[in-house]
Amino acid sequence: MRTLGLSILFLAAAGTACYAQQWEFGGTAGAGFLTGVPVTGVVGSATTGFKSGAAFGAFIGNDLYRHLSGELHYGFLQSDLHIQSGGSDASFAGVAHVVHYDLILHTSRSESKVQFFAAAGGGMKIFRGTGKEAAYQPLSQYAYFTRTQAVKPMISVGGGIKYVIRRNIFLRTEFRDYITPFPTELIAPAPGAKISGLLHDFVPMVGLSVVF
Amino acid sequence: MRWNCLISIVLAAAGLNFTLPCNAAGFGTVVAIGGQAADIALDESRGVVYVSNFAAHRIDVVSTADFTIHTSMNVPDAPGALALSPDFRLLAVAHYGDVSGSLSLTNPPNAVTLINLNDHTHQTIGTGDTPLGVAFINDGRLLVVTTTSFLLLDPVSGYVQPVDTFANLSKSLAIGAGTFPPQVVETEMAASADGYTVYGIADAGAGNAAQVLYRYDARQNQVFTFSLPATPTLLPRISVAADGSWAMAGYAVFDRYGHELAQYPDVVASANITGNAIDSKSGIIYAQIPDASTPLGPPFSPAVSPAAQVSSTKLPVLSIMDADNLTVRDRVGMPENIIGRAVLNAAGTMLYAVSDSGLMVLPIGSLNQYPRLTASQEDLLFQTSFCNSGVVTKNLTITDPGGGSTSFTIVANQNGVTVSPSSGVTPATVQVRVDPSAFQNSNGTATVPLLITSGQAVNVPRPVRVLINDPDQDQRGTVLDVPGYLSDILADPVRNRFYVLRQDRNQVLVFDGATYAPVATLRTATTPTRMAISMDRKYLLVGHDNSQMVMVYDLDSLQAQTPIMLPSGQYVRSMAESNQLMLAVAREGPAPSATGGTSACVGAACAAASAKGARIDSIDVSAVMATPLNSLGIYQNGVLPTTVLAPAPSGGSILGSMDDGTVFLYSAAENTFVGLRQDMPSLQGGYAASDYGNYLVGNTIFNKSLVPVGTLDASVGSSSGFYFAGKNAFRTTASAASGPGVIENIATLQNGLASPTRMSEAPLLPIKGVSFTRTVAPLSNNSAVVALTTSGVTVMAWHYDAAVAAPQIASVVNAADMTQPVAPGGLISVFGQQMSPVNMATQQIPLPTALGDSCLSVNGAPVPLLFVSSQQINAQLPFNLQGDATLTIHTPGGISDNYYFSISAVAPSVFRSGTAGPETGLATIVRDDNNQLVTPSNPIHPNNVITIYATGLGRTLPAVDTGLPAPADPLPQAVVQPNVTLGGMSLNVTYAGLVPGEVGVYQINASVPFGVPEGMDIPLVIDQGGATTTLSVRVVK
Repeated sequence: MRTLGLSILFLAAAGTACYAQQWEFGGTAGAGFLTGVPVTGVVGSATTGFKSGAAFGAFIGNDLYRHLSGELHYGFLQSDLHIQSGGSDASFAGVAHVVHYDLILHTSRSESKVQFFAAAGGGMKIFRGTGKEAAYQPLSQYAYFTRTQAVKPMISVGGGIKYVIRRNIFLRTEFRDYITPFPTELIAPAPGAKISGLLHDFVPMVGLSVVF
Repeated sequence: MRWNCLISIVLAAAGLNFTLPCNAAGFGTVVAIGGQAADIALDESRGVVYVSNFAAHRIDVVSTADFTIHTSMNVPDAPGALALSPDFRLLAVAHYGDVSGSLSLTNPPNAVTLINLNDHTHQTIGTGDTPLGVAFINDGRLLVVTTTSFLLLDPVSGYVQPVDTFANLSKSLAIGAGTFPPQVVETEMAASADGYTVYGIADAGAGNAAQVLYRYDARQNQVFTFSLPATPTLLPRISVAADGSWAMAGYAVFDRYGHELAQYPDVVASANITGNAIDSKSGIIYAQIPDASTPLGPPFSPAVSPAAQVSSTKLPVLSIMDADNLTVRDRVGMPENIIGRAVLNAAGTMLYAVSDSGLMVLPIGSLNQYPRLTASQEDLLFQTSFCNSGVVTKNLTITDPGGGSTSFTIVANQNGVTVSPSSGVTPATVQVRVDPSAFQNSNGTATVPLLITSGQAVNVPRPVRVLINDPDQDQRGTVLDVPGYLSDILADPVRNRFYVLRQDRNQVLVFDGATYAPVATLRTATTPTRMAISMDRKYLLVGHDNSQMVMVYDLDSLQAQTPIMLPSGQYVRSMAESNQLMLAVAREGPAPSATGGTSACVGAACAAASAKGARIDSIDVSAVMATPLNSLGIYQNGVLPTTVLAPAPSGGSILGSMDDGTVFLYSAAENTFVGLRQDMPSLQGGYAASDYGNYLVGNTIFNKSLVPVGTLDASVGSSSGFYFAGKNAFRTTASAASGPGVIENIATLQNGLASPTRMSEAPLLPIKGVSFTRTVAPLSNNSAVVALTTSGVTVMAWHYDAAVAAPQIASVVNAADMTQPVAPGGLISVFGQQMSPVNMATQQIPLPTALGDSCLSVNGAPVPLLFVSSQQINAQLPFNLQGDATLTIHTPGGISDNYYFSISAVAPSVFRSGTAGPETGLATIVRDDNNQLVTPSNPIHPNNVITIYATGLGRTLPAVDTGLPAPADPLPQAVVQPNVTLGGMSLNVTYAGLVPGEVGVYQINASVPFGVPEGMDIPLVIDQGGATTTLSVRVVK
């Protein structure tokens, strides 16, 4: 909770400081595709992580400079917990929330109806295991699914294209890679097992935004 | 004589007479009509019952609201059968007009009156011959059966269409005293709920002993008739299943093809007492059928019921039965006898019946509002052992199934058995106390009935059987209580199971061969007699004495398959399988045959069978059919009904044996009967066939030519059962049902040398009318031999007579986590060698103090046992022991050396018996929110409530007797309350004490605080008065 509170304060402060003349507000939808992480145990190895799932988001941004903007994003991702070894697999319901602030380097809005942008920033990702715990879980020799939540610092990188539909309305396609440490609170390695590596969540999205 | 007659005789001999309360007349209402009722019709749309008053020439209209006659409709003479049209507009009345002598009826006698119930107009239509029965069919026409024909009468046009003709049926008026209208009419018909099917039964007429069951199919406009040479006669009472697929006539149930699906066992002939009604929705039949077990008087109705011609001391009793096999669920006293039609209302809550006084109304849907009695157990088995020969007590709970407070009295008319209190009000628990010293010379099992009576209850409480088993140390076998009349036992040749037929409840009891515990119950048809297993080992077949069906069960799924229907009039008494044919002894009973159809048995074979009373059929399981054999090879196919068949284990031959001394042999190799001899004046007892050309019946050894080649010693008792283990034969015998049994390993068949060993109780012996018994079966894995005995089943070790070394004790630990500390009332495991000749667990309550020929004593006190095996025994320490203790084990091999250990006041330990998926040995800590074991994948969270199952929490308040399950109210709490911490934080313990319903198992309920530390291995510590136990659990926030 302490990490969550600090992150919100930081992001709010950043948003306020980046005062500019133009603001942009929008919503996006897409899907998240996560990479697996190897887990090695005394009885062998498996791959664990999160399943792909739908993603929804909202953002608000403002122009800081001619080619530089700042955006505060919120995203909701369906992220079922998952582990696989050989022909066996097991899963557990889960979701994730992301909150991040990105600096957007973009082409000039007045030069063309199409704008390209690159984004980089940071924030946090909240993982939540929401499935039903059971005394026995398949592949529990590697890791245990847990009904709990974990907050992880997150790096966000990506880019996209904005297309002017009307004077102040943009069609927006973008791509993000949310990079976090692996949430071992949710997928806890079994005794003798080890989970290592970063978790990448690749999220392509499409959305609309309004400039005012 | 039927098997059930014999059962009744045995029960009667045992003194198991039923008694009925003197005020059972409180159930039901009698409406005296002032005349003689012939038939009734229920009109729920108007809330009335029409009663045809045969003698007074009127239809009495009885209100179903107040059960009084509000009006009467005058009709022509002798109104007999009634029928109400489906639209409730017309009431049809058949006027019986078969008159002889000087009697003169004033109105046209042979007619049907149609009464329009809306405008009260009457229309009388002549039928030519005397109308006997009427029923409306689906299209509104009236089916009329007369003495000579079936007619269809159109109420609109008055047109009468002949459907079929009939042999003459008649009984002339006038009649003598005590003859009731249904005895005159001798027929009754009833339609299915949809009106498409009408069933009826009629007397076949003068000079014909048979009766006729007929079915009219409205879709085909065709009548199907079946001749019924039933004995005793089926009285004309018909009830039809809602879909018309079957009907009950008199005391028997028939399908649409005339197959007898079930007949009530043990029927006693009666001139007029019988009635039945089917509740198709609930699968129940309500019936009064006189039988040998009908309760005795004095009658509670005025003096002796005038219609009670069976016996003046038989009381009117309504049986509530399962519709498929007529298993009696309960029996309820009635004010008077049913002597005609019985009908249920649509809701199935009220039964209306023609009775002595006219109409009787029974609120069968409100039975729970009437006082009744039932006991919690059918049997109470008391056993003594070397460790415990003192007074034994057990509890018995008497309840009212409706939850009411009903007074009762319970008595045991036998010295040495006392009941306290001997009377009370339900619900009540009485203590049955047995002093074994009163039975110490029996060396077997004495049977004492506990009779439950009441001045209030309307039902007939079943007596409770008290069994007192008092064997000597040299006697072998563990007695398992299996209530009821057990008629056959069979071991599964490929599965570790055995099957027992419980005849009085129409069940196959399936027992596990490892634990000897019942694992399934299969419903059979009525009165199962013998079993057989098909040679492919896939199916179990069961024959019945009161059903034409042979039930077939898939032994893998334990599901019933399509039954095999025997030819009409045949009932399977015994079956045996071989590599060629499966044979069955089919008793020839009075049963229907399709009129004009092809007989199943023709020619000389039939004549021979009829002369003997039974025949041999071939049963084809895959084709689901049975076929009478034309001959038994060169011999006629006629055998006695008591004939039994014994298969050789590998299917090479089948031995047949009759009680007149005849034996015969079917050889699978030749696929024919190769021998039939009668060298003995009589035979009875056990019977078996070997794979080595040896055959045993009673006390006689036959060779493969069926020549008697040896006689077994008869001085050890009557023969009960045989089995072969390879070339070795074994026999069980007993001198009396209450004495010890004897099992002999007949080492040399030729000279009959045998080595007898006494069994713990007697195997079942032949009773009058049942000449042959199959009471013993070796389990397929050669682990044990199981036998039907006085109390139920006795299990003996395979090498029951082998020399056994004395038991040795290696260690004593608690049964939860297998560590040393043990406490009073806790469960313990004793490890050692030669501690029991068999592996056996028990489900008896209270726990027995002897199991599998083994018993334990601690400081001289007997210890209740849960499980025994050669190397481990699980038991409960008595609550009254503490401190230094000495343990000894007694087995057939002798007494162990003393084993010294210490009993702490408390020694908490958590069971490691939990399982989750493939994981075993888990600590039994349960999260209450999902009722699953706490594991790393189901961790403890803050605010969870957990239940910890343990043993060793010591004495409780209130105290609980050793060997008995803990009560639910009041909860027995541990005297020393435990503290539970998780990661150093105290948990709020809301309960610590015994688990209700369990023996020696405690539970601790605790709630987890919010601030509990999290981690993969957080210590959970139970501290009880300084005795601690610690486990690691995963905690997640």
